[in-house]
Order: sequence, then C-alpha cells, then structure tokens
Amino acid sequence: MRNLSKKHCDVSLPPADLFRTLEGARGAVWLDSSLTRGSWGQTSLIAVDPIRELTLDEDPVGFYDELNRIAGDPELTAIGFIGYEAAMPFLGLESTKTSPGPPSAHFFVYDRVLRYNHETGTYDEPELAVELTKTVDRVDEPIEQPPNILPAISRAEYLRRIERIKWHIHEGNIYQANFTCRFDVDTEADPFEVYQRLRRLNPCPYGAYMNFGDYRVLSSSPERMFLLEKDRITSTPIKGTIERGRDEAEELSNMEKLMNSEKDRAELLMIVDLVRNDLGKIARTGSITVDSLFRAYVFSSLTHLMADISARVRDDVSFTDVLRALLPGGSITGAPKRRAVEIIDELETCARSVYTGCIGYLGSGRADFNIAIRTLVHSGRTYYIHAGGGIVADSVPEKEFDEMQLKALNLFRAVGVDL
Amino acid sequence: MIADGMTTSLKASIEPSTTHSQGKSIAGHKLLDTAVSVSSLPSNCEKLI
Repeated sequence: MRNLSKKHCDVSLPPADLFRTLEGARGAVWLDSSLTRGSWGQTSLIAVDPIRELTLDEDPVGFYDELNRIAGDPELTAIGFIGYEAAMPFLGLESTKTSPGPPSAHFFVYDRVLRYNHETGTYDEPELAVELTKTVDRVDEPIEQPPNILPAISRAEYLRRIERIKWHIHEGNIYQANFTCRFDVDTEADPFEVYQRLRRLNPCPYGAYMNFGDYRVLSSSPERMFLLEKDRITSTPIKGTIERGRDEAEELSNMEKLMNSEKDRAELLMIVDLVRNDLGKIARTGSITVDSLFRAYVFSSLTHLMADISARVRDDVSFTDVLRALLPGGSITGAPKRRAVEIIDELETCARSVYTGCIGYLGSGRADFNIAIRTLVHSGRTYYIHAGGGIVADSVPEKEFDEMQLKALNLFRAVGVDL
Repeated sequence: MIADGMTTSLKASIEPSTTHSQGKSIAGHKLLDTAVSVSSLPSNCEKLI
C-alpha cells in the first residue's frame, strides 16, 4: 500500500460520500449495504490500492490455491466475483458461450480494508478513512445522452424458449430452470451516478460497486449466496417474486398472493431441497437445518419469498470445496442443477458472466458472497443488464416475461431509461 | 401464509395514519415509506423498507 498523507477528512461521512472520492481508481471496491437487517448487511467494506489481483483465466490452479490460502489469512482480504460460467466446471460442464467482457472470475487482494458498521454509524479505522479519501481525484461526470437499448432476444423468442423449458419439464428432464436474457444499454451515463441511483431505487443488503479498470460491476442484490464464519455456513435463497404494489392495499394483496402461491412456494421448496443437497457435500452429518422457510420480505419495489438453510462445515473442507459444492447457486440454475445448467446453456443466447455468479469477500476465516442478481456490468459506453426468472411446469410464458421485466425495471431506471 | 383473522388486523395496520408518509417519488417511481410496523405483520413476513 502506498504511503498516504493525512489531511483533514470528515470521518462522519457515510460510505456513499466517502467512496465517491475513491471510485475512479482502478481497484476501488465498495461492498455496500444500503439496507440492513440483523446480520444482513451489517457492515460495508471499502478498499482501494490492492496489493495484487487474481484472475481465473490466467492460472486456474493457482487462482483457487490462492483463494484457499487467503481464506484463512488474518492479514489479507480478497474482494471480487466468481462469474456464472466459471462455476460450470464444478458440475463437470463447460459453457458454449464466449464472453468478450470481464474475466470469468476476478479478485483484488488488499492488506487494509475499511469497515463501516451500520448499527453504530462508525468506521473501524477512522484514520484509514482519512487516508483513503486522499488517494484519488474525482473524475468529472460526462454529459448524459438518451440511452439506446438492444435486447439480446425478442419477446416472441423469449416466450418460445420458455415453452421449450416447459417441454423439458414435462419430459421429466428437469423440475425447474432459471431462464435469463440480456439487454445492452448504450449510454454515457456515469457509472457511479448510475450506482447511486440504483441503491436509492433498490436498497439491498448485498450491494457492490467494483472498479476493475476496463469494466465496473454494479450490484444491488438482495440475495446471499453464503456466509461462512469459521465452520458455520448459511445460505439464503430467494424464489418467488411479486410487485410490491402501487399503494398499501395492493401491497397487502400482492403479499397474500405470493405467500399463498402454490407455484412460488413450490419453486422455493425445490431450491431449498437443492441447497440442502449441496450443503450435504461439505457439512457434518446431521448438521443441516432449514432455519426459516416461506418468509416474505418486502423490498423497495418487489416482495420475495426466502429461506435460510445452515450447516456446520467439516474440518477437511477448504474454501474451494465450498465453492465447488454450492456454485452455481440453485436459485439461478434450477433443479436438478446439472441438467438445468445444460438446458440454460442451450437456450440462453449470451454468457451470463458476472450476473448470477457471486460477489463478495474472504479472509480471516470468514467469507460472505451474494448471488449477483440485479447486477450490471459497465464497459466502454455499454451497461449490460440481465434479468430472468424460475420456470416451472405451470409457468405462463407471458407472466414470466413480465416478471423478468419487473426485475430489470430499477436497473433500467438507474441507467436513465425512461419507463 | 397469512392466517385467518390476521388479514383484518394487517389491513388495519396499513391504513393511513399519523405514522404514515404519503410516499415519495424517485425517478418517477412511487416508493412507499415505512407504513407498517413490523410487529403488526404476520410472523413470516417482514418489511425491509
């Protein structure tokens, strides 16, 4: 870490204002909890000036060895993502898609990380906050022009492919598949301004803004892939989504619809079973428990059904073993996972890349990763927006298309698309 | 699942009151302020906003 001069800085600044002065630097990352509930999003992390970086594509063996080493290192923290396609080999599969964008997995390694506790409203190292704010200059914001949107697939084709998934379900190949599509939005909108809008529109416990230099990742995910604390692991899958509603009466009505929806409850239950199965690969016998099931959580514009599943990890399990057991996440693949992933690869037109992979940090015996939904990648003038949903036997294609659009709504609004 | 009898109290709890904001518009999207206290919701439902 380079030598930094101490100048006056108001350490009472919330993370958003502090990070505003840092985000222009390559290697600046902010794991952002814009919504806090208990252990969800209790702490936000800010880091700049990485001491090195790791990408999967250059050295796959070394990449995972290094993650295993850092996972238990009390001095280092790795922050980054593992993309969806990077996890496919864990199932014995290779993606047929080529992705010209980000590496399939990319981490920065830091020797100092600033932590902001949302309960107390304080930084763990105020003097580090002072130093960090002096490391980079703010980049001027470009003038925003009306964005152009290019969908990767037409509505008619989207519906046709959902029918194809339903055919696979009726043939007995799968029970559920998560089908997604991509929209490319061409705009000069400043990525940090976009992120600021996104976190206002869609507050969440597992947000992130990461500057990788030639591309940036903006995430506002409500979903935790896993939290690993020593030997305890927790996963919180989401399945089942409904619009929050335009007023209180509609909110209540929608909440009741979701909580009583046989389809949505079945979707979640399938994924809970899948996660229990995945945890079984790394858990001590008899330690897997479903701590909550069919709980509805109301976010800013959507209400979701969620579950909490936890387990005790065996002593012989490494961090990479955890990744191999859980990724890609069941809620964004379907069940059975391997066949669902094959069908997704056959039917989706683009690589998912960061989207539906996982974003988070590891170090000091702790790791916390989201599932990278409600996530954009910005590169050049383009924002890559993905959205999708779980398809089951009684899915109505038109409704699934509407749900996909609903999930993407705040992402479009954040990049300045007037909907 | 919302139990029988719970619906009425839940509805009553979100009627406009002195604690209820009328909501505000951000980028053309009407967001709801916290209008329902957590204690008035069914035990398996939680408002995070």
